[in-house]
Amino acid sequence: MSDPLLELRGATVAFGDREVLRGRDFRLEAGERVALLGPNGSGKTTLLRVLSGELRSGELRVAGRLVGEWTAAELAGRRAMLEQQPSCAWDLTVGELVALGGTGGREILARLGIAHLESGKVSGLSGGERRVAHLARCLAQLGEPAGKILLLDEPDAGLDEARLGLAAAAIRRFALEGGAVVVATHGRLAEGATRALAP
Amino acid sequence: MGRIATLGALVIAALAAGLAAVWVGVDGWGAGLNGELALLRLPRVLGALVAGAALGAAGAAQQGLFRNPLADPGLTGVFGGALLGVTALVALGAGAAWERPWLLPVAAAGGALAATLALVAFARGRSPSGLLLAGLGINALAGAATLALTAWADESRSTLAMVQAGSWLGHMTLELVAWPTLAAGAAVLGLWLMARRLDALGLGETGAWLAGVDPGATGRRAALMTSVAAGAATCLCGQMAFAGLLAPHLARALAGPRHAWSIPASAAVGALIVLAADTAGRVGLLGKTLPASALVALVGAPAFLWLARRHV
Repeated sequence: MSDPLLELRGATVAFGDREVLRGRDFRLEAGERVALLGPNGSGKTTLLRVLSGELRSGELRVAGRLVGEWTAAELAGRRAMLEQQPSCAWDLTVGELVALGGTGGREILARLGIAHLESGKVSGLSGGERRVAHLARCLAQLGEPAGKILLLDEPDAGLDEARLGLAAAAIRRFALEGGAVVVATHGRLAEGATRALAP
Repeated sequence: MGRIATLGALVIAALAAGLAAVWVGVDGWGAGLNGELALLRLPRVLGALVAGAALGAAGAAQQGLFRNPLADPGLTGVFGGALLGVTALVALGAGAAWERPWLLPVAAAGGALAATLALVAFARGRSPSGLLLAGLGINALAGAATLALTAWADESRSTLAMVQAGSWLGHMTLELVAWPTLAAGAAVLGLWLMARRLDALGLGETGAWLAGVDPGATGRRAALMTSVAAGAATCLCGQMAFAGLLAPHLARALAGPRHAWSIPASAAVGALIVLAADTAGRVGLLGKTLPASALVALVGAPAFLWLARRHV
């Protein structure tokens, strides 16, 4: 049997005296779409940060290899993470922002329904549109989905119905093409998930 | 395409201004068309262009590294460190600096690096005002140490006074220009090669790391390059604040925010600023001859206050 894309064992994270994760295990296979559900403060963001390799706790393996053995650049080719409040200090256009991730931005933007915003400044977008632009950057970072991991922290916040539908379709397609997605959400994006769990 | 044209125009403008400046003297153009005089002015003009380019690129990189529109090697203490390095060399090494001209940029870069490392330690991830406060402290410390060393090193006092007052450009020779030029060229190229990583730092330290850019390693490398650039500039024009602050702002307005464009554009704009200030000061545009640093500050300081009002 091949290695899972992600495998976490025994992650324990506490902030002050509040334990957010205790001995958490997690396993992610190709093609999965996992919805992380739960109220604010239940540890969704913390678990995503641990899975991304940013917050180190327990033993995390990416494609069978310990996370500490990957360089930041190698890891970025394998997994992308959309932070809850993504931002960029430079006054970039949407196209330039997506190009920070990698190539193929135009097609990704079209799929997400914001191709017409490509040459506009990110600073001129609404909160929801900005999140979609950063989602496009994450997709560009990963390129071909097969074997890749997409971690999304409430990408649906501030999205209207139409954009939500397109984002959901892009996420579904990513998993169908052999990638795996973990998404923290308060609702809509949980529909159609292959697995739903609390952190 | 537009950006290539803009960058090309800026570089051509800086070179053309340099060519023109060689022919301008206190008496204007008329009696200035003198080949011998032009040859004497050449090192000074070259020095101004190189110092400005180094300052512009270093300022653009520092503003990128600290995600801070108010960063400037002159204000963040990096120049203070470079000056301390030069002073230490001249004071302690006495004649050595003049026998081996390459020692000057090395000493300046060393001092600048010490200041930059202190800055990274105290101010990374802080607000614009936090960075400036750390710079204030580093500048004050470096300034005090420089003063003490100068007092101690009697003989070289006049040389040091010139470097400190920023009137050093008037004493350039081709030999003194050569090594800082090499160092500045390498530093600007090195910074330009980091453009993509500096772009990614805009996502924040975590965001950059998630996107595959190690912020710690990027910070250390950028600190080294900006120190070499600031050290080279100090060897050429002495202390000069605000050129490294203004150039990136003008460059970004012309060439956009991506570092692959803003760093070379900022180098060209910086070269133009320092050359214009030095030439205006040299020919006595304001009635008296003035050091370039004074003229740059006359324009730069109000601009800094305006930017501070917007960003702090």
